[in-house]
Amino acid sequence: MKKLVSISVTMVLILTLVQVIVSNTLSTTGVKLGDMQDQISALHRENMILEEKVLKASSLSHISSQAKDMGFLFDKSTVVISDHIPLAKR
Amino acid sequence: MTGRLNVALIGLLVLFFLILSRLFYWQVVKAAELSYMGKSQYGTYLKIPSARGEILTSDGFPIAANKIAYLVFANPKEVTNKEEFINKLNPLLSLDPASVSAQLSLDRFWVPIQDGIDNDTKEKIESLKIPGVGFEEESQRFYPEASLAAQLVGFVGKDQLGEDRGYFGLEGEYNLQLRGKDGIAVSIHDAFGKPILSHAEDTTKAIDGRTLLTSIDRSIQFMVDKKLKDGVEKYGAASGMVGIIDPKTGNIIAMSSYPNFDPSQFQKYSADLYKNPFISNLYEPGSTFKSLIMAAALDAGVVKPDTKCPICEGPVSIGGYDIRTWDNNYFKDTNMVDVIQHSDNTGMVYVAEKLGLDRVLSYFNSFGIGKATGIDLQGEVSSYVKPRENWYPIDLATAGFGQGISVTPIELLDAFAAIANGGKRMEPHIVTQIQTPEGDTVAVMPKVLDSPISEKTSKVMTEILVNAVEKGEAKWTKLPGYRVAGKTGTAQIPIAGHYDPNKTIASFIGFAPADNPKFAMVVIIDRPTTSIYGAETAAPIFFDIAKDILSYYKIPPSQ
Repeated sequence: MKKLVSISVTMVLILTLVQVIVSNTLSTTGVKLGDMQDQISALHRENMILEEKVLKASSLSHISSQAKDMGFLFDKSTVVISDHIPLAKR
Repeated sequence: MTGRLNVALIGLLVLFFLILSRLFYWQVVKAAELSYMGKSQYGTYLKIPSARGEILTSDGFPIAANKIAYLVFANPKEVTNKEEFINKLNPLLSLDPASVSAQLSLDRFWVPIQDGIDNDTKEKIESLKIPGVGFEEESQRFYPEASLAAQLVGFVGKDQLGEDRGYFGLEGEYNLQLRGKDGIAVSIHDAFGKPILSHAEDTTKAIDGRTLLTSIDRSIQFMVDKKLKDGVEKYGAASGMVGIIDPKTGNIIAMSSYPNFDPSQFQKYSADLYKNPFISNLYEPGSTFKSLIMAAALDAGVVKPDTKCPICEGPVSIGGYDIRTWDNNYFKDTNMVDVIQHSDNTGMVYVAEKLGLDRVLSYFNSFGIGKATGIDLQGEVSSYVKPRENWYPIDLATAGFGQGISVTPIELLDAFAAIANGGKRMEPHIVTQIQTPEGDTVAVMPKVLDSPISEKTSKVMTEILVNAVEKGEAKWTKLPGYRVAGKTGTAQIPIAGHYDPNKTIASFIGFAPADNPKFAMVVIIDRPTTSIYGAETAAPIFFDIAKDILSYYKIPPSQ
């Protein structure tokens, strides 16, 4: 009976100690969590801004105006190479 | 004694029942509400906005996406010099000084200055370090190609509750699929305001909207938008529209209207421009409609290509009206091929009368005339076909050449595309696939709506339409080497009970290559001023666009 009581008291003390340690650890992870969430938001924001820039730069209206500014002209002639051209003629 | 005990027992049972009922009420009926109230004492409920789904062209490029924007606000209590404040912001925001000055004079801690500014502008304002200026981040709809296919895409505005909502076009039609569902987060803080880890999972996740993959070919759409704008300006027209469909699937390849608007700044444009005239406007199709009536007559077997017209030597008189040809030239004993080639109104009166009213109405039904096509765009209207008893002989005669009857451009294009598709009429569609945020895809399959004519008739009609392009009024603008089937149209506009001879809707409808059609297209030019005829306005635009599409599809000339 005495043994059982001493084991129980020891267990209670150990568990209390564990809880104190865990609580201490967890109490500071809130700060880390907040920082991580801020980082996620910042990266998400940056990603969206970059995505917007990529879409603007790759839009046909932008490419078309850039090409015009650089002096490119629309080639209206079309050359068709028929697959029936003989390899050699007599 | 036993009686008193029983009364006491019943009294106790009643009390227990009342206690149980109250417990049930608090713990079951009111559980969610109490839980919310409890949590709100030590935490904060936050709305996690869902991201609106994107709209992609067939190459996967977003023509509607989302971007981060900012609301610039000011705290009037911190603004000491209003004039300096406005002068510093004005070069970046183009403000109305009087309006901003009035806002800053209010006895408030927060007044909005300008909405929807981009990140670059925000950074420039921040660098000025103006006291009292702040920013609120918000998600905003973004259209990378600006006004490309504006009426087809629609736009996102606010509803009565201030929530984002799609209006018109795809944004309106697919609003429920695109908008997603906002999530809720419960943020529980410690004494220093930092979130507590053990309660971080206590959230309802936001469900992002679904993404739409469309059949719109971005390159063709861009090219069509430009050529249509150039065409409307060149021919001095009030407006214009072009629709291109894949006749085999019903997929819309391009749909353009001019004038149009920029969906991201829709407020700056007239509301008249918001609706898509290609699906929402009715017009009298004129001679382009002859191809449907002729196809119906050939299919019914009432005429053959070599049938001679016995009434075509002069104007036809019906119900006191004289029906003339467009150029007052008449061809005695002309055949059906030539009737289409010359766009002969008298010949079409003969065809319509041979077909008869009952069969005309039956073919209208199978061609979808008088019915909405079911295209997946918000705002489609259907034309009205009078009940049989209200038809007079003159109505049947004029319907033969496309006057006195109204259709929407999509209705006409879809019906005409049946000739290009072996007689099968497909349901026109823009969205080909819906993509969920989880990565699942739902394909939208092509759907046959009706088979108005046989495959044999479609082939005969195709040859008649190829002949019309080769030898008809628009032959000067045809594409050398390509077999294109098509028909011009010049419809007078009914105004106050009569037709104005100087105001027309000029059009050209056709498909190419005639033997294996890859696209069917209609070009409609409203009230051109340089020439009133479709052959001189809409046809050149049609062939200019067709040339580029055939080149883009790498289809070589066949002749």
